[in-house]
Amino acid sequence: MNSLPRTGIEVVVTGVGATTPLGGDVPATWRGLLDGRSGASALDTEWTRDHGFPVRIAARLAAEPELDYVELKRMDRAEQLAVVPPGRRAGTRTWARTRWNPSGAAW
Amino acid sequence: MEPERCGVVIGTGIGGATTLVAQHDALRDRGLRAVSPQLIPMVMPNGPAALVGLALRARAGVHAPMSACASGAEAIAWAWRMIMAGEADVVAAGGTDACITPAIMAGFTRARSMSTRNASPETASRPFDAGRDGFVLGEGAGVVVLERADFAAARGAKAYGRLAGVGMSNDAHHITAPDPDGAGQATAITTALCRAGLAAADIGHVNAHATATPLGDLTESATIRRVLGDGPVVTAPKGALGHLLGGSGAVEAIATVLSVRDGLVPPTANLDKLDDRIGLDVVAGAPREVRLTAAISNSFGFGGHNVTLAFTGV
Repeated sequence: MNSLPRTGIEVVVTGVGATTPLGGDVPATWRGLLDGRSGASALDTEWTRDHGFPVRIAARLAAEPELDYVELKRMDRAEQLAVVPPGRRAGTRTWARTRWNPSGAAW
Repeated sequence: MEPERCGVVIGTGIGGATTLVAQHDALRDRGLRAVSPQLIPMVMPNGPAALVGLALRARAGVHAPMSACASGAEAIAWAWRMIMAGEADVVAAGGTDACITPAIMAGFTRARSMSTRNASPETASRPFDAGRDGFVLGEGAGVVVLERADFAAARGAKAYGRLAGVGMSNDAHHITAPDPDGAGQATAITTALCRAGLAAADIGHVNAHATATPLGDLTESATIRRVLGDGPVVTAPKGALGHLLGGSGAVEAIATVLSVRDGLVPPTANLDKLDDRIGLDVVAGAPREVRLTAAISNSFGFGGHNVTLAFTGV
């Protein structure tokens, strides 16, 4: 069941990038995982207090996305996070200047 | 690198909901001119994929699968399919979410999905622990570069590991609750193994979805025992990371690749007392050294989505 015809194609992972509550990149995130460290902290905001939220915990990013003012303004936060790994790979902090060549070295 | 052979698949669980709420408030309080002309590209769920695609000049196709908390893993599975189908040689794939905001927190609160251990945030996310009481909402993103092995070899690229097979299924049981029989989850795992040409005995490690909800962890552990036995060394990264929603599957796939490469499985943070009913070899306290031939990463999402990614060494 579910078997595919053999294509002879194999798929490898040649790059990894991340920004997480444990670190701003993969090495820091991996170190945090191996250490069993938690990325969670208290979420003490006006809205959690005003509305009496029973949950006042969250795991926020360890490092804010390194983007310029215009990019921060023009991207939703989920978009900002997604463009962090390619930007870092390209050695530029500015997404707009990123013209990442995926056949370069791994992230 | 020809742009026509490069693809992007980036999934998101919630996407631009944060911006949508903020812009709605701006419209109501300050009028039409307060609304950003960028509202639509900020809110559209394909926005993250499209922005990464722009940066990479990816013209083989830019896609944005949505399967809630399985989105990041599903993106990687679709990227694998693109390469296997000969549609691309290189695909950047992953997931992202960032919605620690009032409306989303309120929704998960009303669904009673999250931990209320407010006195001790660091120990609140407790997958597989007897005292677990829900997940901790997190934010984050992960992206992997997948390549045809021969393409990577020709350019001398170093590979972290091989994505040997993927499995996707749906419970078709309930909009949020997992099927307690775990039939859909089992299908995802067996499909991934079958496509990878792996036997259950080859899987030395499971990177579990385990969000630390009482029911979810129980269902997944029963499925793992039934399909793979109690032999695999298991870890649940959400104890440390929290639940990154669409970002989870991608970040956890990366952890799984690194575990296979380094022969090292991270501990499950906050696992002090394993729930008796789990019945698996879950790593706690310190990393475990294990020689691994193959490992799987599970990701499940509201909507009944199940995704399993099977990795081997190179």
